[in-house]
Amino acid sequence: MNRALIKFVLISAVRDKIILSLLFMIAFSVSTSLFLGSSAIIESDKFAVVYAGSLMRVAGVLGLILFTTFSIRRLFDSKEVDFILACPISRPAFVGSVVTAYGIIGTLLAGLMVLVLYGLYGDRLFLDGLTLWGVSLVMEYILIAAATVFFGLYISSAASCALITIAFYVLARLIGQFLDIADNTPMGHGIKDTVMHYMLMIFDGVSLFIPRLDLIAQSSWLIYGVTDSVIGYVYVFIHGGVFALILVVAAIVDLLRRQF
Amino acid sequence: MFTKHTVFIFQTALILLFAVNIAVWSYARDKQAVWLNVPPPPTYETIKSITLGDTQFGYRTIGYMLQNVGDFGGKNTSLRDYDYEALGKWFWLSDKIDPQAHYVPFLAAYYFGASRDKDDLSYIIDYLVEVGQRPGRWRWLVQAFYIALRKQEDPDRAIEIAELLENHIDPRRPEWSYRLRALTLSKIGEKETAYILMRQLVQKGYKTMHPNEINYMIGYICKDLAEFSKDDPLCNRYRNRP
Repeated sequence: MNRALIKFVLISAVRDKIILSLLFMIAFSVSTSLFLGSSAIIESDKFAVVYAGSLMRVAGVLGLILFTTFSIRRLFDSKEVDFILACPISRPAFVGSVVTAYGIIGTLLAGLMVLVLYGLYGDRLFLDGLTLWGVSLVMEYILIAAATVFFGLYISSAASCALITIAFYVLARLIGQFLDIADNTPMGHGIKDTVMHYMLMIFDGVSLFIPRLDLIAQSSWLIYGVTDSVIGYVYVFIHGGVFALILVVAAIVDLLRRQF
Repeated sequence: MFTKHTVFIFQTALILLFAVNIAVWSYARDKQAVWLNVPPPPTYETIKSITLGDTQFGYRTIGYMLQNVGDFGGKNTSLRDYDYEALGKWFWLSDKIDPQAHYVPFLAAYYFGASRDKDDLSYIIDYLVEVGQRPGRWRWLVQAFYIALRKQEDPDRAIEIAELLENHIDPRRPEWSYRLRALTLSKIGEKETAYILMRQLVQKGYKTMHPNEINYMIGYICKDLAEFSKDDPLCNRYRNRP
């Protein structure tokens, strides 16, 4: 990794007013949540916490994806990548530095969200739930940053890259649901069922490459605490870390094979 | 360069389009969206998909929808006009998403439970009975009991609910909740059964219950159920008091 490159990306984030935009999005999410929470007939706090957590999570992901995509594509379009790679920075170091920089932005963002929730509802939140929610959100943002860098390096159109990364995120949030449906599909012995059986096998194979974002950063943790013993810090770190590394290595492989 | 003729054509077209717009506006000006009553609920899987797996967000959204359903365009809908069967399905859906929350049970009990239609109230009672049997949720069972007895005027159903309340899993609840069945039975004339139940409660609870509660029950047994308790030694002290 290269410190100068990390600093370069972080400065470009400030220059692009991405931090300011994300702050605005957080403020908008919290305001909406407070408004909706105050109009709830009971459990107003729980209402506002769930809405704030969920809205900030999605707003943060969208902001991170859009910023990372356009930032990466601009590096290519303005030939900055050519310049950077002409310096004594290896291609793996380039990818590592870029993902680290975007990961830092994601971490700051998630940290800010946790602080906002704690500042507003600290005395009424389950702290174990808030901590795990924040940590898993950090992992989610790092993972999404890595995915965006991967798609950003591979796809030449910024719009397509953003859309594909958003689709990847949505799929990652829904994959558990799809697997559940696949597991509960009744099977017979006809030709149709055999075809379905193989299709479900293919789907199982696809799900191997999709992170289970539906299991982490659950807004119910904020109001009920961590009641699901299956998901803990170990799962969050291993799952998020392995997937982020897969995407980083895949991006490095892609960049190493590219001719400039 | 555009000729004057081209400019004239476009200007005329603009005026004509405005005229068409005014006509369309006049047609739609007084038309209002019509409420087609409570919509049929989606499946649990649909809610999970719509909310990207964040079911708690889905629960709160459903709760908010139920709180405001029927209020549209500055108008309110009378409770008798709601489709309670559909409402009941929404309650069950929300219960599947979050069985811990009090939000939808509260709406069911205190808002939709205000309906005067006895058939409609069955959906509310069934839902509250299910929710109320869980630990820490006995108050919804009491609410179901109240609606069944006072609004639906179905003492048999109320007695069934009171029995569930009596045997509730949650030991931390007020002592009066133990004697609702006996009191209801007494009210509908089943005084002998009421006496037996009340006597059992005194027997079981005299060590743990508050003395005031015990005294109330002894008073009820000896005064209101006097025809069955005349030979009961429990009443000797009650009758001989100064």
